[in-house]
Amino acid sequence: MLAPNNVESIIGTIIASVISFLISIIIMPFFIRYLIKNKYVVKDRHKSNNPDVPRPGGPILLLSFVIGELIIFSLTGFHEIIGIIITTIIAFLIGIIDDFKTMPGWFKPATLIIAAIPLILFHVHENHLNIIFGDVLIPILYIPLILIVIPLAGNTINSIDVFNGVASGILIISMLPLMVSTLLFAKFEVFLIEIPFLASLLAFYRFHKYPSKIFPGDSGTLLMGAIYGSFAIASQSEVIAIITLLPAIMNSFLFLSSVRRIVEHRQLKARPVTLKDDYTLEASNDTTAPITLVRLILLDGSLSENQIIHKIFRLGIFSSCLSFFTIFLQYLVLHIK
Amino acid sequence: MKFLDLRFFILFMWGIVMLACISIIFIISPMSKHLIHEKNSIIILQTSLIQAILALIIVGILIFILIKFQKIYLYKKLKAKKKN
Repeated sequence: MLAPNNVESIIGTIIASVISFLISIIIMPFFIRYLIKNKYVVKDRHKSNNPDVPRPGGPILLLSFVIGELIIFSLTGFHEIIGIIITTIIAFLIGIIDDFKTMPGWFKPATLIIAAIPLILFHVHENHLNIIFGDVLIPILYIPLILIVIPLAGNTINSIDVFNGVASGILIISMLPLMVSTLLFAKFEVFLIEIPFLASLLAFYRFHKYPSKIFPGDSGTLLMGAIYGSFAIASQSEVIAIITLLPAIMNSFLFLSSVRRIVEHRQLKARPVTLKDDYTLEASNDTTAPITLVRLILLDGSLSENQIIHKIFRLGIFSSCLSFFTIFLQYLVLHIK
Repeated sequence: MKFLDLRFFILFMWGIVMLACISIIFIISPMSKHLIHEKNSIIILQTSLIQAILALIIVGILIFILIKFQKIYLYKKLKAKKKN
């Protein structure tokens, strides 16, 4: 039986999530028109007519998330929400700088460390790190861990944003195991604050999916990554969050281990994939080109953009299944103890 | 599931993550037990430092294994591509 204040919180969360969803759905078309009118567009080079796609969609994503979270804060007084909102806003600001000004490769990972600080100040974290087979008390070590998690999460989502709808789509898939893990092993309030984000993502995906009507830009991908990382910390589900995001982590790992330095994609001379005349993509034969997830996918043969997107989503679903299995393992361990 | 399937790569990475969790439980977690009632901040700091070094070593070894696996995987994948 739920306590009366819990029932009130659940109703409030449903209302907050609907509002978050509607903000994106209603305001986004106007924002798209504004971006097109002011020529904030980039060419989508994977399509035959190279259409102009407006960018960034981050501001509306931020607005819908923040309003949803503030409604829940007003109902629950869960102060960790404020820490997560400030982290999100800082990540968004870092992204928006990168959207309008070309910054060096170190800029995003280095500055995202600042975005992680509010999580520490508002004590969003616990002192125990949950590692499936038990937990480990690391009161001091947890702080540098937070400073690593947020830049990693932000850059991982940023680097997977290579095709229409991939970043938002893979995050929607990743949120499901994270939310189940939160519901089973963390505070109920953390589960509640995750729902408006899922609602915002679902609404945003409607515009971001293939063929994209808007791109999130760095402001959108960094804020998505920062929110995901914050939820992983707040829900003590760091390991589950890592497993669910394995395709994106694999992409970053392959890229970094082949390039051996932190560098922006646009600074690379050799491209990992090449566009054919029929607008399908094939893996580059250039040995100096970085290895990426898409390049590995294309080693089996050339594919269209839409086919690649579906392959990435299938990998996301596979790692989500691994996450659910890991959650089951953790549940078993907890009950055997 | 074949070796060259990308899902196998993800499964291997999952195994690495699980291995990291088990290593932390058996190596780092026992060191934390005496931290629960510890008031001396120097001892807490020393223990945390040792834990951090051990965690870095564990992560370093596991990343090394992953890099080795990646090289074998890529070699086999490129060989299969040439055959086709």
